[in-house]
Amino acid sequence: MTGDVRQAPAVHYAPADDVDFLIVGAGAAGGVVARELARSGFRVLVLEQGPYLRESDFKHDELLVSEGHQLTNIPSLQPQTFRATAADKAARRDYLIYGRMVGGGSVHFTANYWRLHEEDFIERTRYGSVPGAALEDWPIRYADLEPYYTRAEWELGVSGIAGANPFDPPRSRPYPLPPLPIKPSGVLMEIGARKLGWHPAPAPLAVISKPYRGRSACQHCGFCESFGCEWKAKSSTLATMIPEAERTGRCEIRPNSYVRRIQTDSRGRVTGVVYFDAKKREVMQRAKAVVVCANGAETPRLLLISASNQFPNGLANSSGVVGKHLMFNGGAFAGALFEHEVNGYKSVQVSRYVQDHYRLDPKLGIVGGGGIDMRFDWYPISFAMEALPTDAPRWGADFKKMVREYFTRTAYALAHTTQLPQEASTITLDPELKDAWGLPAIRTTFTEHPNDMKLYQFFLERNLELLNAAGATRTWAFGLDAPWQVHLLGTCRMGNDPNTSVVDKFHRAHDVPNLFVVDGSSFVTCGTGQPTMTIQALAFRAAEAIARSAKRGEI
Amino acid sequence: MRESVSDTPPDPVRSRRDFIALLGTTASTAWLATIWPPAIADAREAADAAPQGQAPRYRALTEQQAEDFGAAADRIIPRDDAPGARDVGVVFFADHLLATFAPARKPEFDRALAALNEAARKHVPTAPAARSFASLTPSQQDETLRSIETTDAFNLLRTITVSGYFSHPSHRGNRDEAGWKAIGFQDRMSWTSPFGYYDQPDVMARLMPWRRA
Repeated sequence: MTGDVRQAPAVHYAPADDVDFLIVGAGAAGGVVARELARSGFRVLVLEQGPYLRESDFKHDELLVSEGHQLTNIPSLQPQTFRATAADKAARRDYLIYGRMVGGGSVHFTANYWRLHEEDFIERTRYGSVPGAALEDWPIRYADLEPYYTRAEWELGVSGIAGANPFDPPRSRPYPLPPLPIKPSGVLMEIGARKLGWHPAPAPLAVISKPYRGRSACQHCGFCESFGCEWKAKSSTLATMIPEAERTGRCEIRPNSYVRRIQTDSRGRVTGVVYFDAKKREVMQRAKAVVVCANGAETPRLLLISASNQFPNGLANSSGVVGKHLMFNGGAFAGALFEHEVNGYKSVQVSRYVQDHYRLDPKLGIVGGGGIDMRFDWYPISFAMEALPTDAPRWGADFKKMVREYFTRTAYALAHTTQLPQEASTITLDPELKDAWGLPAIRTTFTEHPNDMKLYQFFLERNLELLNAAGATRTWAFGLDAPWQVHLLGTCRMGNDPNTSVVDKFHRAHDVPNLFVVDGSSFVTCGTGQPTMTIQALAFRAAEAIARSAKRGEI
Repeated sequence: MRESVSDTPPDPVRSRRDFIALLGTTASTAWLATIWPPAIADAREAADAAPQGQAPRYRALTEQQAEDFGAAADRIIPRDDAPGARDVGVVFFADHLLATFAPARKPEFDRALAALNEAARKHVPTAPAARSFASLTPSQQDETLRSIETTDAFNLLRTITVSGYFSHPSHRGNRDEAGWKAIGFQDRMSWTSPFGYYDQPDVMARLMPWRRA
């Protein structure tokens, strides 16, 4: 897969080696947990279903990432089904996109790096019972997570200005790096937002604005979203945590290893996993404990596939909530044409954002809120296919003229909003469709809660207001209908009650003492906006707690 | 990968080649080979060889399919003061796509072209049954495309045309980056601020007086 010459792994564990921790998934969370546990002195093996790519494998090639699925799940091997409700028959549809490589989604994400706020952890207390929603408080508070948000910023490398966003929650340290330069879309955002009395601020990004810990600064090539960074300036776990984990000499990253079940013994303890190696041979790998960091879709799927006589509903699923409460974050999207060159295709996608609508006027009767950024996250093909107003010509001389006029002069407003957890929104195993390894395919069941629709409408109006205030010569809205989803949250929620949650507040499965689940599936509510930073802060916190328990002999 | 890093590269890094040069100390030749796929050269070769009757022009398409698809592509992205779809190799792109990236979509592509020719016969009754879409006049072609523009068949032809016009040139379309030049896009490994009009210092000073404070 790679022509890069790289060093041999410092350590290789045999299947019979009882490693201290086996981590499933080398992504945003798994990379952090691996590095932290290896640094704490444990023998760590990470199994990753995708390949181990290097910066030299990354190319500015839209087809390679979209049609070629170089960095993400591969529909021809891993088909999915979708249905709106449990009453419907699921149809073939590749509804979820997720990172499938060492580094996971942190390699191709846009790198927006927002903390959740204090109120995100206590939405049940704040709003009470909401019909149709399984709204609960988290078992932890912002203050519990703050030290780990700060650790994530410093360990990974995040650019921003503390205090620039007046709605930012309290922080114990400033950002390690200054913000990236303002882009034309950021200038327009400041103009529009200030005109409306909002408070625009430099967007915090997991992209380094200056050299940091041996990595070079962002060179503004513009290929962040959907692409891997050739410069190692995006602070993916591939560029940061993974090599640091390997340098301990105690951590092996084993790519092309697709876990097919987690094994348990008669005492109900995990003994290791069975996985398919690159040649589809089954391997039983022993481990003293397993940490599942496979994302909000693959994690519940693996637990459900790992059902046994002892765990008939799936591993760690005595509560029955594994796979439930799937959330993606909501959103609203609008575009605008401006008089002069915006050239959004240069540099990072986002340079300014606002959080004035993080919580809405209670009189509106809407739960949650959102943040808005101005951005340009198109490349030439996707722009011509999807970025123009919905009533634009789709072919011919007028179409071509419009693409040529608009490409360098458009900017877009994207709101990231609350989406409510619902019991009926689930990841389950498709009863018929199998993947290329013969395992049940992911079946997604999802319909927005009415509150999600209200947020969409509210933020669509704010987006258009913003773009007009910024001086747009034309604006247009995009529909809510998302062709695919990327934030995979909530499907193994954490909680204090084993009857209503899958893991405890330190990510240990209530049902299985030596099984941990750390990724977006741990979220109780999706919060107001970008989730990756919270996933990684949770991972730092979980790893510390897991290491502490292990050293005390409590695993 | 690199031991020393600096705030900015020694020179503007404008191309992948420059970027590789920058990394050059550790780059092996095997590594370089993966960066410059021979496809770029292949595209030229196929284009040049064809008139001389050498190698087969296409791997997935028939000559007739190439004609019909090329004609449709040229109506979807016609030539103006920038090249049209066929000018930049979109037909070679389609062939490459269906022979390599997406062979499973060839039957769908075949059906789309069949639908295109069916529509041509229906909407241009003067056209003899044996004639194809490619043999119609441009205005007859437009009329035919309009009659199917909401169908899956048309969407597939449009998607392939647009992708071929704007894709990375290593996939045989977008020859000489003509599609990118037409819209003002440049593929570079590095840019420096200001990136456009609004972030120029004097413009910012005028539009954002609060910034001076």
